[in-house]
Order: sequence, then structure tokens, then C-alpha cells
Amino acid sequence: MNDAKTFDQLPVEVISHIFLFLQFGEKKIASTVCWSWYEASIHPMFLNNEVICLKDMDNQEIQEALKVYTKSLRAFFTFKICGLGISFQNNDEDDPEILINENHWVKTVWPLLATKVFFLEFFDTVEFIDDILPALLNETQHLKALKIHNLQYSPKEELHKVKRLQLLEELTLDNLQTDNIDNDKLFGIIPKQLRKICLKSMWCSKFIIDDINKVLNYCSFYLETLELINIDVTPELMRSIASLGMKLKRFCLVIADSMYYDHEPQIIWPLFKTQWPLIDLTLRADCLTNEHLYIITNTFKNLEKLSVSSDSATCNVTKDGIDSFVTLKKLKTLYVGFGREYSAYGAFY
Amino acid sequence: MPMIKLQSSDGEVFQVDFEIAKASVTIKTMVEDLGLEEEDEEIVPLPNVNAGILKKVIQWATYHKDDPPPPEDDEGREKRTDDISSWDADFLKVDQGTLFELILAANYLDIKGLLDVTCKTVANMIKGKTPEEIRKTFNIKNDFTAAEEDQVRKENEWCEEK
Repeated sequence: MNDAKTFDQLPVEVISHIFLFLQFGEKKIASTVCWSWYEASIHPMFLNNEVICLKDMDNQEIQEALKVYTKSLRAFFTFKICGLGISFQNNDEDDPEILINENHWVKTVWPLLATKVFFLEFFDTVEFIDDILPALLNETQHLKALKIHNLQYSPKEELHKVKRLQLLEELTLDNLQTDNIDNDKLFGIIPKQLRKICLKSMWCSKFIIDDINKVLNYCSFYLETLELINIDVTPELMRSIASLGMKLKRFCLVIADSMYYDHEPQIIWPLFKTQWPLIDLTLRADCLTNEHLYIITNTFKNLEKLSVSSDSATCNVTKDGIDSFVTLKKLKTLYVGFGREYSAYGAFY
Repeated sequence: MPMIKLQSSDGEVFQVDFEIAKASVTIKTMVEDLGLEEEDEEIVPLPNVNAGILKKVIQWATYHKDDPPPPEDDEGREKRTDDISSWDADFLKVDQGTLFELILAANYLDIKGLLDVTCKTVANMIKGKTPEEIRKTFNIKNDFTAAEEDQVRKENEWCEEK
């Protein structure tokens, strides 16, 4: 027992525990000290909180970067890919059938990693004449979480070409051109056991409301989290969502009033008839009233996290409504933000 | 008050208040599994902890016997290291070998509070240093080849916090 005990000889689990107390950048530095510390730095609990961000790279650069990760000992990968539209254009205008360049990273390096990619976040604002998104998703069939932002100019068939992502648990669609999200396309991608849907920033989306409904109905049994952020929620949609028999644990509704119409307080009411076992509720709407807050307190007694707020200074919420939250026994986190007068109530329990 | 006998790897027996020994989930589970009673002469063997370290662990657990249970971990998120109490800081003014053994013992005995505070102490010794300075501080040998070191550095290049 006289051998020198140095901190590279601790069990990897214990080194990981030490790394819990380091900042992200400090952990990166520590990972280059020796093998056991590197191994500790790629513990799954850390991989879940990191993302490999490939940004504004051309085809060559992205190939080189991905090659590095093909040699990594990481058990799985989370990727964020931004601005790759500049990387590749189909120059062969005479033959639109040849959509993917043979040497494109999606076809070369990506398949070597794809089975270990569980999380993919995809940003773009350029034209998808090159079919990158369907090619990428069809290679990445083990995805658990997919986020697509700014898919604005995609041709209509784009999502039709994507095979169903059988293992997907979380889907976020943000700022999509609305004719990209009809129900056939979404049905084609999502599996029945989807756990979380977030739909964000799709203005003038009235005509897709029906589709959202059908999609939610399709996965209503397993769905736990629903976030509707700045989409055109109507009273009909709310009634319809409330009637689906879902068992949501987390619900987020953000309805900033659009230029086209104001929301009436009734739009919130269907929520209170759902009997969802909510533990996390976020409501941000100008039409919130004290009555809403009283009923939240009486309806969702298991709430651990609650956020109610409004952008408007004229919102009809007063201190009385906010005070009613004290009866929520399990509440751990509360955020309240109404106009200027009540901003002081933005507080944590 | 019920007492329990703990035997270190080098054979020394310590008689400890069971309420204090219970800080160790490992001991608590062992006692429950063995169904030990107050009057039992049974000795709980701890083959992974020597007398010197066990003595320190008991000292720590005795001082902290009235602490509230430590909060659950928020998996993988950075935690603060500037909240080590002055008693703990004094208690941990030990050489690296002892600190190493204390961490191993806290891990084996499953005493979260002690594991956290010892790991925090090591984390504070890592913070703000270059890889070479860290190796020097802890007397760690760089066991990477040049190519491997390069690979690890490149992997870090595109990694960001989610």
C-alpha cells in the first residue's frame, strides 16, 4: 500500500464526480491531462449537457471536423449544425435528379457517426435545393431529439422524403414556413411514442391548426410535454387539445397577441378541464386574469414549477391572484412577471 | 443510544453511534441487510478503509451528524465550490495521499456530503490551471501520445455547453 496515490488512479466515476464541480471550459482543460481524466470527461451525464456545434463550415471543413469525432470514444453525440447551406449547391442544373454530391459529408463521414447521434439541432435559412435535410435525417435513424429551426424555403416535398424516426422522443419545430408542416409530413416523421413536441414561432398558422390536432391525437397516449410558443392558437384548438385525453406533465402556452386579433380570456379555459397531471406549467398571455390564477391553484395541485407572465402592462392580474399560489404545496420554482407594477414578484421559492 | 462496531482493513475496531454511522449508505444498508440489533456483538468489516482514514471519516460524520440530507444532483451541471465551511476546509488540510484515500472511502462508504466536499477541494485545485500545471500539482504522468493528445484537443474544439 505504499504506491504513490495520484488522482489519475481514482475510479473514472469518482473523477467524473470531481468534474461536476468544474465549469465547462475547466472540464475541457482537465480532459487533456491524461487518459483517465479524458474518460471521466465524456461520462454520459456530461455528454447530455454538451453539443458539438458545427457552424458556417464548408463541405471540406465539416468533413474534417466529423472525422475527428469518428475516432472519439464518446458513447453518443449531440450535434448542432448551423449555416451549412453555404457548403453545397447543386451546380448541375441540367440534371436535377443528381441532388447529392458523391463527396458530400452527409454521404461520406456522417454515416460513420450517425448511429451514435441521439440529438440533432439544425438551423438554416437557405434554399434546400440539395436535399440535405432528408438525406441527413434518413441516415440518422437513432435520433432521440430533433430540433429544426428556420426551415423557410424548403420545397414542399422536403419532409415527405424523410423516413419515420422510430426512436424520436422530442421534436421541436421553430420558425418553419407553415406549408412545410402539413400532417402528412409530420405523420411521416414522428413515431407514436413521441414524448415532447414544441412548436414555435409560426405566425399566420391558422390553416395548420387542424394538422397539429391530428398529430397530437396520433401521439396523445405517450406525449408528456407540449409547448406552443407564438403560434396562432385559437379557442377551437385549445378546446380540441383539451379533449384529446392526453396526460401531459408539462405544458407551455405563449400567446403574444398578433397584429390580427386579440385573445380573449376564454382561450385559457379549456386547459382547466383537462385533468392533466401537470408538474410544470408556463402561461404567457396578455389575456390572463386573476380568475385564471385562482383556478390554476385549484386545478393543478401537483405543480412543482409555474411561470405566469404577460408582456402587457394592462394585464388584469393583481397581487391577490398571485398570492393564491401559496397553497400550491409542491411548488419549487415560481416565476411571475406582469407589467412593471408586479415585476418584483419574479421570485423563486 | 445504539452503538455499532466498525472494523478497518488493518483490523482496528471502532465503536460508533449508529446514528452517526448511518451517514454511510453502505453501512446503513449492511446493518439493515444483516438485521443487526442493538445488543449484537457483530462487527461490520470495512475491508477498503484503513484505520487512519476511518478515524477521519468518523470525525467528519460526527461533526456533521445534524446536517440536513444533501440535495439531489442536477445531473452534469456545474456546481459551486466556494461554499466549503471553514471546519471542512480545516479538516481537509491534509496531504494529497490522505485526500485521495478520503475520496475513495467516501465513495465506497457512500457518504455524499463527504464525497462532495472532498471532490470540491480537488476541483478547486484544478481550477485556473493549464494541463501542464495540473499534472505538476497532482504529480500525474501524461500518458497520451502526441497524436492522442491532439485528438482530444480537437474533439474539444467544437464542443459547447448545451
